[in-house]
Amino acid sequence: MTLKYVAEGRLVGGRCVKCGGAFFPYSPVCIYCGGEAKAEDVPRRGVVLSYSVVHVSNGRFTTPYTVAIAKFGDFQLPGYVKEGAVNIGDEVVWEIGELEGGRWYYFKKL
Amino acid sequence: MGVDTAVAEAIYVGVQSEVYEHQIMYGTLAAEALGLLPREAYRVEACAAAGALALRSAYMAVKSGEVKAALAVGVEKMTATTTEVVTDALMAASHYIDQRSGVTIPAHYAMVARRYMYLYGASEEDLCMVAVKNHRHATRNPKAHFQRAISPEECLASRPIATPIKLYDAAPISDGAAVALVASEEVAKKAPTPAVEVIASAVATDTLSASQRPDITYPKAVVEAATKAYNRAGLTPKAVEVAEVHDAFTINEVLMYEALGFAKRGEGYKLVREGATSLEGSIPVNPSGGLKARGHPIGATGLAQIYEVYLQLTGRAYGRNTGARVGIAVNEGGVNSAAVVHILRAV
Repeated sequence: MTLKYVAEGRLVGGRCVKCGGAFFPYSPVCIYCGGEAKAEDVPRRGVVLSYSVVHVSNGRFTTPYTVAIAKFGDFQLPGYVKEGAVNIGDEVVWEIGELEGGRWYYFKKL
Repeated sequence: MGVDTAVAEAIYVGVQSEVYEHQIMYGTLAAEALGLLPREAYRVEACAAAGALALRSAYMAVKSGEVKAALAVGVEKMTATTTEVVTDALMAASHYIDQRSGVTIPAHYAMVARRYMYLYGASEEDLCMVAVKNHRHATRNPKAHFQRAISPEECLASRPIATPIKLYDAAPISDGAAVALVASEEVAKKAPTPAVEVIASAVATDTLSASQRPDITYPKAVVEAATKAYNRAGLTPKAVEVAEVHDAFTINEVLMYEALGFAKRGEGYKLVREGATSLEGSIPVNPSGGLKARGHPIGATGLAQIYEVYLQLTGRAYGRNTGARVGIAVNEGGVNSAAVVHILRAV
């Protein structure tokens, strides 16, 4: 499902009808309370909550590189950060494109 | 002489991954090696929580009356491969959104650590003090992977793995195994070695991707499992006299202090500075050296913790005895995505 959305250029999360919780990726069952969840597009702009520069990885990613957890509206996403360093509080956008041999999303600093 | 393993009517084996040895079916393998075929035996897994899950399975089998005794085994042999292969095998314990984005397990804990430092004012040196303490403890443990002390400077100067986590903030890649025999009171009374009582066993879960937690510095599964365990044992955190906790990365030992009720939220890092969690402190944590210095053979870790608590409660932790009568063990898998808590008491 997520890959289908990614192919359409979208990131889609879930919004719980019962508790209002927002999560990523979409699932029809709320991961927080088990309630019914509806699909909702993840907003483009977000803020970095934390990040790390990875020096030791699994052989599939060229090191060093940066990863972050950022908050887009109510949705929190982990992501690879393309082009440069970020700090907590920095604004980023997500984009979809080529990432280490596959089509996936990544973050860019605004 | 120890107990004859033939009393075990079932065997549960905690193992993380078939990547290292290209081997699954560890239950059958263990039964065969112990001469216990055709008894019930199988593998349990929740990444690094596999060992304590094996204990829980044995505990439940005995508690239910299904068997009178069961063996819990934990094992992992990791050093025959490369760090990249190990990193990849461990990444399987995260969500695919993390894996596709290159967020390694150390990077997850790194982001938790950075957020924690940002929110609560802890420093990289504060986190290094956990490693310094655990290495010091391990100098007294002849079974530890690293039996040498390190300085805060050495830790701070060690190479980055995933910033702000450095080599000395991280548990090593180890080989190891540990076992525990769980028996009914009737069987335990006949054993030639002293027994300790399992007074609580609890498991809880949290989101597979740490990114989906409202506060990534809050290890909810550990809090839930610990709360259940305290309630079942009828104890408060104050009653705990020794703890073995899952310091896969230094930040996690700090989070465990808070989750177990040894410190308030955001204040766990101060305990190390005050020496409260040292062998000589008010609540000794990881007298064995912890994952950091005792070593972290993934599937074995949960039972290595139980082994240390057993030694402590029976006064057999020569050179590092705390005299504790009640001990807690916290084992977790993923990024605190599955937590297993056991409380043991001297008899």
